[in-house]
Amino acid sequence: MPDFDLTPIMDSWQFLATGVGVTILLSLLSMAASLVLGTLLGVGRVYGPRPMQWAITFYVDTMRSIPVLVVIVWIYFAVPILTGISFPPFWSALIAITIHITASVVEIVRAGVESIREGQCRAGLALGMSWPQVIINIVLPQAAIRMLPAIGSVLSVTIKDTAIASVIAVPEFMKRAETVAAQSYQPMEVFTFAIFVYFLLLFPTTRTVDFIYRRLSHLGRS
Amino acid sequence: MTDTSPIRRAATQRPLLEYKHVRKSFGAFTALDDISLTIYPGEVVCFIGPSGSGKSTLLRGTNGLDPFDGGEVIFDGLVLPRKPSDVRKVRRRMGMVFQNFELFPHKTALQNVAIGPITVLNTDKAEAEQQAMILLAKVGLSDKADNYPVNLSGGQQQRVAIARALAMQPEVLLFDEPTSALDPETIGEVLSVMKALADEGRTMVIVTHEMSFARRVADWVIVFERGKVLEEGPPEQIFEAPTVERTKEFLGHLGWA
Repeated sequence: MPDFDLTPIMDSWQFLATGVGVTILLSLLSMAASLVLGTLLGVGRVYGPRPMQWAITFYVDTMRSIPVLVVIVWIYFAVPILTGISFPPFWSALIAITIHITASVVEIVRAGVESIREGQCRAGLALGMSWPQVIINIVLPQAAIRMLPAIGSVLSVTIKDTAIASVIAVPEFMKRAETVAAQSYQPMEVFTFAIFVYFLLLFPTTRTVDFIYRRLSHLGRS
Repeated sequence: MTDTSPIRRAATQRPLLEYKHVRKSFGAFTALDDISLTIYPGEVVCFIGPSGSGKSTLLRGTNGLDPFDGGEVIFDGLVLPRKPSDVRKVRRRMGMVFQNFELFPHKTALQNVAIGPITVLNTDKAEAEQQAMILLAKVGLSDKADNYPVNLSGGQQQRVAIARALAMQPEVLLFDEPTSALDPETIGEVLSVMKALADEGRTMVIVTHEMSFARRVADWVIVFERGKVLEEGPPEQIFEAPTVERTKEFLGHLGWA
């Protein structure tokens, strides 16, 4: 059994902590953007005109067939060559993770929206509501509650996916951990510590979502 | 067959609702076959008949939720428009009560009643909720205002649904088998709310299998079979002396007469 030497982690704690900060920031921004875009596209996929539905379906199927690593690398290295527009690493990662996660959110929103009984829409329409009013006031609030468990697992995938941003040198936690591991020649300690940190980020997230769902699930039953 | 036409007291007024040559089919099945009917203001009209006879289909087409394939609905002198933005303006003047209540599960009883005026009529929230309280009192549920539908019995949910329909101050109330999904014990509380509304002189169209309710409360009863009107008349005629043999048969199956 080798010695478990935590000094490199202690010595670089600020360097690693700011990395965790970047991981959290990248996660929060990707989640927020994915939830907003995914909801809009999910609604468009169910209620939009046919060509819109096809376009969104094509996007979802495409994104689900490409690894997020490929998307990140492509946006960071290929997009500047093709278009002349280049994004800094953080923004490239944010865009790539967002368009990747959005595809999953679209499917979750679609399933959530379609699970709402048709009679609920009829009740809203019978009051004289327009379709947008029915979707906003009746369908989405109920669908959101039903979607929570699935959204919870997408949130954890999002946080984990941010580690892939290390390949384009985004200074997030995984990249920082790699740097410390390389400089200290103590990968075992550093990466074990990394596992621990990711677990501490993710475990409370999934537990919290689950807790909220258990408190609210009765409101989504029609 | 006699040729003495039965008395229809309200018939001196201008009709509130007319169906003219209404048709609808689902694939090869003809649900409504050239139906023409008239409903006058203040009348309680019950649609009865066996399952699949078209009575619910006719009711659901009344506010354009399930448009007819042919013919037209005339409401308050105007043909029901087809354009979504126009039909909405007519729809809000017709209240609808569903077999499965369809209360919004994420809203309290009070919010369920207030949501129509708030979203559709842009009524101030406080005012809409004040009106909603009055309507909940009317259906005997003041004490349940803050309950979510999941915490209400079927009968209570249906009474909230009636209050929700009333909140839009509709000119006609459409009931689509309002007690069919209820336990026998709670049917009575819903029917007595409906009876009270009828006594106020509200125009009501009710699809129902509650024959004793129809007999007691209706001003006019219309019997449907296979997408056609079999017979129509005052409840005394339909239930005591039907002129059509098939009506007798149908009521006989229900243990009536």
